[in-house]
Amino acid sequence: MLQGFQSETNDSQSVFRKLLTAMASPGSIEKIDLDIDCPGNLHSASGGILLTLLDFETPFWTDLDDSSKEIQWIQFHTSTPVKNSATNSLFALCTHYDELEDPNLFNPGTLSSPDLSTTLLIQTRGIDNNGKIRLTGPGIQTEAYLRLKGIKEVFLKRRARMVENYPQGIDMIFICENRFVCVPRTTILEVF
Amino acid sequence: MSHQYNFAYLDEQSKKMIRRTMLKAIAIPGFQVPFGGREMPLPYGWGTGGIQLTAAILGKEDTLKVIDQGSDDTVNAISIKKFFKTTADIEVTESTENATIIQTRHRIPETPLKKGQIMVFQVPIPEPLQFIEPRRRETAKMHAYQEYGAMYVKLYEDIATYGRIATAFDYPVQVNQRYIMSPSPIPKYDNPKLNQSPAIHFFGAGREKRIYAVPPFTDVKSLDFEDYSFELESWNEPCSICGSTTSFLDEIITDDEGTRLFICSDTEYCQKRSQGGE
Repeated sequence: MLQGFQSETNDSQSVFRKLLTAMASPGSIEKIDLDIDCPGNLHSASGGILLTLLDFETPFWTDLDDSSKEIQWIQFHTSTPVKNSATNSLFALCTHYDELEDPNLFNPGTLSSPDLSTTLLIQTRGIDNNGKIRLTGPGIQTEAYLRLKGIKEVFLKRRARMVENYPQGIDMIFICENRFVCVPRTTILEVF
Repeated sequence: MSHQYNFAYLDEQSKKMIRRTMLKAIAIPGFQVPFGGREMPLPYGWGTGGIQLTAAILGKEDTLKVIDQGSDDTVNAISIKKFFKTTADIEVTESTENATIIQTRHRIPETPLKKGQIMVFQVPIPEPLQFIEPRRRETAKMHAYQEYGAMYVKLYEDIATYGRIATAFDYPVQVNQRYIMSPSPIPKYDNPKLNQSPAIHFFGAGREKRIYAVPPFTDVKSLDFEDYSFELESWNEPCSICGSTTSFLDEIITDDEGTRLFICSDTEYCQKRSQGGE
């Protein structure tokens, strides 16, 4: 079994602060500077974020095989209960970005408890700020632009329509290697 | 000393749970997210909610400022600083500018906040609708369906009785055009500082076990009416120490004859001005 964090206290704190910054400024790309060796197809930012947030209280769904070494690693380090339904998950990880079409498969919470909703991690082929997805909303001073390589347009268009359901919604973290960017439910997306 | 405690006192699983709550709070501005508040080694009302937030945020590189009603030197502020020096061995400061995290009881500093800074408010009563509707189940529904009429009736009753909206602190705000939120008992003078602020604002209520937040660059509107707009308090004289005419002033009675003077509530700001020639 590969090691997780070198220091649970310091590493999880530094990942959390990056996450907090990213979630508070959608579209700004953050980098995890930890030497973390994740198994298989798991990007190091995914590994770092999952180790920082998951524990026995967080139903988790992923498109990886049940017996994969990635899941074994995540469960070994976090004890998270792995579920086979995306709708019931508080955290979810998508690795097959090219098959991902519908953000409505996940849990948007309820009107009175919108916090009981899925935080969705999506691994991509690349992220940068030169794209044609325009972001506005809380946390963004004027506007931000994003390119999410490999993410289908139909997925983004469906996500764009989800702001009508606010405060229900899915908070997303797009990941490539050790870099990530957050798109919380409040962010208004326009795809050109 | 610090080796006797886990870093910043809380155990790692508690921090994890608080961190998850904080991320949801940022994603739903103004919504009160319930969390599994822990027992802290001080009584409710002394900042247990704020301390749990600070403990979950804090890292080795952070510089912490703690204020109580604007002052860096009150018992509450000093004790909380001492608590984190003991349990996390971090730097503490009185300077608003140099602080990365500012835990506060009932004020926002006069020095403008910067991007990257995190404000942590101690909150006694997180539910702004509590005095209108004491049942939690009902207020949850009011927030869910944006049933905020009763709050406006309360403000209207003020106008009917006093000719103006008489609420001077804990003045309700609407965040991101959606949730009505208590800004904690800050004077209404500080409300505009929350609007489109570059800093992140977190609110922690330890007894009520809720966390809520205002992300940077988010609309925060103090509730009012078209013909009775939100107004800030003003003073007829400047601060008697530093001469400021733009900061929030406290009234101090100096003798038995009722002699009074007005001084800045933000002690660091006042000191900086009176020493540094602004």
